[in-house]
Amino acid sequence: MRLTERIRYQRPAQQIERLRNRAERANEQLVSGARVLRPSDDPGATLRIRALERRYARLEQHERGADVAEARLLRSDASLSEAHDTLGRVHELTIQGLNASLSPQDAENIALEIEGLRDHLLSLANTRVEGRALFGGDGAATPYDAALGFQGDTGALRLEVGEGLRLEASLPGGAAFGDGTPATVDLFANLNDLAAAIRGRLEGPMQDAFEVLEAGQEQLNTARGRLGIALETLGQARAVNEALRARLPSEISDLKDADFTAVVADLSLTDNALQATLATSSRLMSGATLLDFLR
Amino acid sequence: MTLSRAFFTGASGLRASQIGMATVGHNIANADTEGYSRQRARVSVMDAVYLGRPGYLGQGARVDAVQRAHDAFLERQVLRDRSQLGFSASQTHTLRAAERLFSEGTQPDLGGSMGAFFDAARELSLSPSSLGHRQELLAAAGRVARAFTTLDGDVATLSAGIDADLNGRIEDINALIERVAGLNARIASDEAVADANDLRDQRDEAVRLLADQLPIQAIYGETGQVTLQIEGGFTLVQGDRARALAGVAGPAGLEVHLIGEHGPSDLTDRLHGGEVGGLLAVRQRLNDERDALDALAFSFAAEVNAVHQAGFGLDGLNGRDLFIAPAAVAGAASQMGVDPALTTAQVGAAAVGGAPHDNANAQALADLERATHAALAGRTFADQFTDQIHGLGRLMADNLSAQAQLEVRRDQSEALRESVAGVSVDEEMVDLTRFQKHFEASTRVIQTVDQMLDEVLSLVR
Repeated sequence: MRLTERIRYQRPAQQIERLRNRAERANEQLVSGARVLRPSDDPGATLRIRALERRYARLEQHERGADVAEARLLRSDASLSEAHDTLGRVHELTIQGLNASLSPQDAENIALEIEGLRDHLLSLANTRVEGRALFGGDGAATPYDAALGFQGDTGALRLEVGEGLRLEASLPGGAAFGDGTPATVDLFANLNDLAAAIRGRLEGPMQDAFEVLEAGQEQLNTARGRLGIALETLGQARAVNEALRARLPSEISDLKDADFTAVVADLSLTDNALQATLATSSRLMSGATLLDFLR
Repeated sequence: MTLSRAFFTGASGLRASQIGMATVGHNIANADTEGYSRQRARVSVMDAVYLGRPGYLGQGARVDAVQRAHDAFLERQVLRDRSQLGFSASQTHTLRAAERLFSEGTQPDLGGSMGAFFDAARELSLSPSSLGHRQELLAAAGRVARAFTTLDGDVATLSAGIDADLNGRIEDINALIERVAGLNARIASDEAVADANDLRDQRDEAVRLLADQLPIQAIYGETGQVTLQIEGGFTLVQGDRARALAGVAGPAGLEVHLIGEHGPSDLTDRLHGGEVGGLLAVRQRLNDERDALDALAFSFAAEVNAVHQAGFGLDGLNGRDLFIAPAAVAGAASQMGVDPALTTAQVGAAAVGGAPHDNANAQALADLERATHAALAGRTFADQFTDQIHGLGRLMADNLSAQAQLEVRRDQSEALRESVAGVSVDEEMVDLTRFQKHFEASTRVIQTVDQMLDEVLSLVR
C-alpha cells in the first residue's frame, strides 16, 4: 500500500484519539469508583441496580414499620400483662367473697376493691401509643368511656414489615377487654356484676359472675397469645430484613462498582500503547524524507 | 535537415519534463487539499518520420494528457461507509442526551420520584392520622407530576432541536446538490477539450459531503458526469439537473420531501443512512419514548386515582381524585398534576369512613408499587420506566460499538482511496529529481545541437 502524506499524519492522530478516549473512560471509572455511570455502560446491570436500589429503599421502610409494630406490640403486651395480674387479684377477692362467713363490712370492702381494680383496668384498656389507642380499633381516641361503654371498632392496625408481609401491629379493637357484643366477655360489666353480687351477698349471681370472670381471664390470655405470635412473626421478618440489609449493598456494589485492579491494569495498558503510538508517530512525522537528502 | 530535427526532438523532451515538473508542483501544492487526487502527465512517443535509407527517425516525446489517479470502486465504498457512519454518529449526541434525561434528568428522576411517592404512602400507613405524613404524600405526588412534565418537556425540546437541525441540513444539502449539478455541467463542457481533473476532484468531494448526510448512490457516466440517487429510485442529480429537498412540517415532526418532476415525494421513512437518516431515526425513537411516557403517566394517574377514590379522608368522605384525571393517553405526561382541590386532610388513607386511624387505603396505595398493570403489558410502573431506560441504554451502547466499527471501516476505505489518489511527497521528490535531470539532459541536447549548427555555419563563412 502506498503511504501518502495524509495517511502518515491522519493515522496516528486517529489512533491517539482512540487511545485517549479509552484512557479517559478508565480514568472516569477510577475517579467515580463506579463501573456503570450511565445506562449505556451496562444496560442489563442498570436494570438490576435500579430494582435492587428500590428494594433497599423499601427495606428501610419495612424496618421502620417493624419498629412501630414492635413498640405497639410490646406496649400492648405490657398492658395486658398488668390486666392479667389485675384480674388475678379480682379472682382472689371473688373467692374470698364466696366465703359464706363474710361480714357485711368485709363484703363491702371487697366490692370497693373490685371497683377500684375495675377503674385501673379501664385506664389500661385506654392505653395510647402515639395518640392511637391500643385496644380500640381504628376510630376512637378513648375506646372505653366513663360509662364503661365500648366506643371503638374491631379494626386492627396492619403494618408492612417485609416484602408482602402485613403484620397486625395491634389486637382488633375490643378483643382483649370486650367490644360490647355477646361474642366477647365485657370485663367491665363483669367486674360490676361481681362487685354488686358480693356487696349484696347473692350466692347465685356471685357464682355466675365468677364463671364469666374465668372466661374473661381466658379471653385475655388468648389475646396475649396473639400478641406473642405477632411478635414472633415480627422477629422472623426482622431477621430477613437484617439479612437483606447485609446482602443488598454488596449485590449493588458488585454490579455498580468498578473493579479497581482491572481498571488500573487497563489504564496502564492503554497508557503504554499511547506512549508507543506517540513515540512512533513522532518519529514518522519528523522522520527523514527524501527532501532532507536532496541538495 | 536531420540536425535541425534533433533540435526539435530535444525541445520535445524539454517540454515533457516541464509539464512533468508542473504536475509535480501541483501535486505538492495540493498534498494536503481535501479530495485532491494526484495527477500524472502521460507521455508517449511522437510519431516517427520516414527518412528513406536509414528508415524511421524518432521525433521525441509527446505529452498526451494529464490524468488523475482514481478508482471508482473505492470511491463508492467510501461513499457507502461515510453514509453508514453518518447514520450512526448523528444519533450519538441525541441518544446521550436522552439517556441522561431519563436516568438523571430531574432530581430525583421519574423512577425515583415514583418510588418516593410509594414510600410516602407506606410512611403514611405507619401513622395514618398524621397531617404531616399526608402533606408529605401530596408533596411526593407533586414531585411525580413534575418529573413527568419535566421529562416529557425535555424530550420534546430534544425532538424540536432535531427538527431545527434537519432544516439547516436540508439547506446545506440543497447547496451541495446544486454544486454537484453545476460542476457536472462544467465538466461536460470542459471535457470537450481535455480531462477536467480538478473539477472532477471538486465534484467528487461535494458528493462525499453529500454521502455524509444522505444514503446516496453515485453512478459515474461515460461523459464524466455523475448521477446521484437515493435507494428507491429517487434521483437527486442527473447531469446538470438538480432536484431539491424540502422540510415539511408533519404530525410527527419535520418530514423530508424530494421535490421531483411529478410533485414531491416523502423520503422520511426511506433514509436508512447518512446523518439525516440517523436524525430521523433517533427522532422517531424520541417520539416512541414520549408515547411510552404518556401511557405510563395515564395509567399511573388513573390507577392511583382509582385506589384513592376508595379511601376516606379525615373528614370521613371518599370518592376524591389525587391526580387531575387525564383525559386521554396522548399528552397525559405533559398534563400530569395533583388535583388542586384536594386538601391535606382529604387524603384518603382510611378504607373505612370515620376511622382516622385506619391505614388500609394508604397501604393499598403503597401496594400499587408492586402491582402489575394490564395497560403496561403486565408490568409495574417502575418496570415500565426502567425498561425505557434499559432500551435507551442498550440502543446507546449498540450505537457506540457500531460507531466504533464503522469508524474503523470508514478510516480503512478512506485510507485505501487515499493510497490510490493521495500525494506522497517522497514520490514527488523522486519525480522532481527525475524531471530535473531530464530537463538538464534535454537542454544539453539542444546546446550540443546548437554548437553543431554553429560549426556547420562556420563552414560557410
